[in-house]
Amino acid sequence: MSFRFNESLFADEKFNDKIKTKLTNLLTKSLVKNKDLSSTTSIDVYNNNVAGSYYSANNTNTTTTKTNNSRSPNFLKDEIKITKVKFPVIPQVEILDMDITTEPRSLIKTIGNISCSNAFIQLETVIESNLLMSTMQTSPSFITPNLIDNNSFKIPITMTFSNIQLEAITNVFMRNHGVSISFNDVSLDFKFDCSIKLLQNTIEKRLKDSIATIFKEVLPSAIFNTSQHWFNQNKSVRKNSIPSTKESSTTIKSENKLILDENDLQDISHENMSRLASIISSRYTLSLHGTNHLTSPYDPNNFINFNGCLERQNLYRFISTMPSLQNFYHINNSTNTLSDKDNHMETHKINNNKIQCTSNNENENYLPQDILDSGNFQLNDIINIQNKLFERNYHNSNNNVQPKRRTVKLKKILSKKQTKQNKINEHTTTIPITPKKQLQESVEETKIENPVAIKLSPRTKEMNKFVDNILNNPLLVTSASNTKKLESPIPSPTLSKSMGFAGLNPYNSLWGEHSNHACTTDITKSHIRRLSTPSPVHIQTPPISPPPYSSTKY
Amino acid sequence: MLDYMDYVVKAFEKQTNWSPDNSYENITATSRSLLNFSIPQSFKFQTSNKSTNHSFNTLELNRGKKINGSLTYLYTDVEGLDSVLQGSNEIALQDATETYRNIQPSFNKHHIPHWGLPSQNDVLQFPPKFIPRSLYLGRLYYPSSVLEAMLIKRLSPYTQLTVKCISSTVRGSNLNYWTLSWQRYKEQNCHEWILSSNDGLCGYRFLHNVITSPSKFNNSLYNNSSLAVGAEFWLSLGSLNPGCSTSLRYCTHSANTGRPLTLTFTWNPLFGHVMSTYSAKTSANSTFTTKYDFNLYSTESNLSFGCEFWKSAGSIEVASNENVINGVAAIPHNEKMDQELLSLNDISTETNITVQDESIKEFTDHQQKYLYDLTKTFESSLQQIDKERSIIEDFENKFNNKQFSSVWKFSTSLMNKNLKILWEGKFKGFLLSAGTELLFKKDDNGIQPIINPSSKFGVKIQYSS
Repeated sequence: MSFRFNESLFADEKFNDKIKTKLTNLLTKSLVKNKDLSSTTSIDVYNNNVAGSYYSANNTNTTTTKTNNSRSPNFLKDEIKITKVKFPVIPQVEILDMDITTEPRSLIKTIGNISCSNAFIQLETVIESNLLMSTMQTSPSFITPNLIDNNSFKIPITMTFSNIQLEAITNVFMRNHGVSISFNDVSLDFKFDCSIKLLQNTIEKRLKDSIATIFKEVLPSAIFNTSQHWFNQNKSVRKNSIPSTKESSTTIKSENKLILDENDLQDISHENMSRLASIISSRYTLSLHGTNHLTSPYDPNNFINFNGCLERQNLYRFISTMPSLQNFYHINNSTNTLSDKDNHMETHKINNNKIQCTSNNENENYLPQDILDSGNFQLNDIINIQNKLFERNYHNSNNNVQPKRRTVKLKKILSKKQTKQNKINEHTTTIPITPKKQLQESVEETKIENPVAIKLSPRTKEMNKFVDNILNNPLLVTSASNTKKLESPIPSPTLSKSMGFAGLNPYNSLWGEHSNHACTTDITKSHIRRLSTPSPVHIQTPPISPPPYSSTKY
Repeated sequence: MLDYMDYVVKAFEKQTNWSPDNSYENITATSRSLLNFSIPQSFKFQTSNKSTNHSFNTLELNRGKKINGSLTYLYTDVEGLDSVLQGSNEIALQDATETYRNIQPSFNKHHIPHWGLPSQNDVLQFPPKFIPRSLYLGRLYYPSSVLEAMLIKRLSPYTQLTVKCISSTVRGSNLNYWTLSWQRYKEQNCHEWILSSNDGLCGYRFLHNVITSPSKFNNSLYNNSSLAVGAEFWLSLGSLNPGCSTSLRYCTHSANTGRPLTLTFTWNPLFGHVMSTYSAKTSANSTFTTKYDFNLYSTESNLSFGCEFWKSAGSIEVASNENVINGVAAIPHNEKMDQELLSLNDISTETNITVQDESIKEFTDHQQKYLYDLTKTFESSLQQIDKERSIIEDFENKFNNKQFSSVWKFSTSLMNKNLKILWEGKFKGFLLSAGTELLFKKDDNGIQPIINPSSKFGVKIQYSS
């Protein structure tokens, strides 16, 4: 999101004048529209048809009666003029929360707080006080009785709103074709003063009644229509604006499509908007420069604009580079059978890791069958990988589950295993398996939670070898004794930071949300004062660094 | 120019002896017809036909932006309309248009009206038996399919009921209203109650004719001036909009020339609006009116001015042509005749005295002398009364019996800076009216007249047989 902020306008109190002229223009425009819209009512057609002989007999000022032939009597006889506007304090917009979603569509959700205080607005107009005349002019002449003295009586009226306090929590949704805004918890308070004291209570009551409508319907639809109008300015205009729904019941009858002044929007920097557009398109193409670079998306030059940022969409590619039992051994064996099996699998090379991705499915953390059969694996590597996976999983899920470690209980009799080798099959080796999936899967066990008794068959040479390996390996003991150490949060800030997306908080959990595509960013209490920030906002993250997995050594 | 159906309705009221001038609605009718006359807004053609003595119809074509029109049917059971109504070839222009209303005071307190000419089946009796006459009117507009209906019914010798309805079949237009008006005129008081379904409008009108006998304080001995006061009260129940006004009307004649004058004064206490009008028929060919509006609260004021000029169609005078609508029998009138009439009056007074002489032969000489002195004393006054009456009636008849070929009407108002022009006339049996409204708007080049864009220029042609 980007916009240019004309700070100098708010530097002194000149903006009051600007608000004044804008309000006056808008009110006058809607008044003119009112008259235009009401020109073709049925009653008008009827009166033209009849051209009543004595219809206008009583009205001296026939010129004014002809122009106001609307069905609902228009008692406004002059345009509404804003005479005084005073905002001693600049209205404030505080952004409380912001969500940016790129999948499946780009969507920005924001919660903001709008507040303004001590404002003062005064407006003037002329109203028709003889309402009987207005109603009679609009009714058909044939059945309307002729009144002797029913002339118009115009009264100037001045309305003053002082001490306006506005506080509103707003939800803003920005999609690529419009901005929708909703106001919650609106508290508007003002002192109302009318030059005609007789009408003060009535007007005040009606104003208070219509405030809800304005904030629930009029303002959101106006903002949406305006934004849509602007977004579609250079395209073929799509007509899917929101017409105000309560058109008949509200007093704002003819404003079925209220569009704010277009000149206001020319302050937006077009350069920034085009950049934003290219960013949005890059979310679909993985390229910041259109589709030209699709052939080599990993050209490092492409990331110049987003230093250290990675798109959420590319997450699976990154994950696929994480070492797992399967791909680790696959590379070592350089077998192509598995990669050919699934069509949707992609193979990408990342220069540092030199690991070929075979699957984007994380759960397939199995030791390949052929490796197991051939016994062509190193236990150190397995432990290494599994520890890594656990660390990552544990850190992200944040649940303080005690990592269950494989403990091998051996009876004392086993110490004489060299002599009594055949007795092994009488003993059961209890292997509690942790961390939940990966470690268990690594040894091809099917049961997950419960301790599994593996009956080791003496006839299988490979299995014997495997068990020997386990028993003889001192590292296993080390890792089991290091449980406590592993419980503590994994100090891998490099990883989590490097995985920060564009505009996302690196401290947030990225890996834990497998189902949810949305990555939330809490710019908690990052107050943006003065309506906006003065420059395009790019929330940046530290530059990407190669994941440290391969270099980690035991 | 009056529509043919309005002309028929007017004749109906005349035949049933219902004076519309007694309604408060028409208290300012004279100034209204001179200032706020309606101007045709497009090309309009009307042809009307009296199919029987009781039924009439009108076809109207209107060429505005689109061609539209209306069909009107009227039925009434009043007798004698055929003798009153005339086709466009014979009708006098004074009857076909709205003009100065000469209001005749009714001095007779227990005035027994005649209920139109009785039909042949009715037995002549005195006082004439009241027959509740009625009038039905239906008008259909096409292509907009708006239906108008009107019923006027005399319920009793003193009451009249008028019902008007409008209905539209066009979807969404919601033009279904009725208006009910009940009028009662008895002993110089006219009460009228009005109810309308449009916004629940309720109204009450009241008019009182003050002068019922020749006034004593008038220096003119023959006095047919009239004074009427009235008020109206309105309230629309739907939106609770009130309205009211009170008015005064004084009609008299200039003593020397016999020309009629009308003065009205209206006050709206609700909005502080005061309106006064002065209308005068300065000659048989011209009428002038002025209106002054003033608002007591906002001190807004407006001065309006209107006039009409009649053009006579030569000096052809048809003495036998009785103008029944205006109700006064034709009397030949020129200077010579007037002189004859005056001398005739002298003779009649003389003969009266002689007759009296004969009848009072039995009285004593003293009494006889006294009576003679008395007669002698008032002789000049009596002569003057007759003279004044003859002047006034002469003037009226002069206007009523003249054959006019056309009339120009102008009206202007200072506040609106407009000028309304209307020409009405007779041409080969057709009644024509054409008019426009000019607005004077301030421009860079000074004040420029432009045609009012809402009314433009219109022509109306009427033919009736």
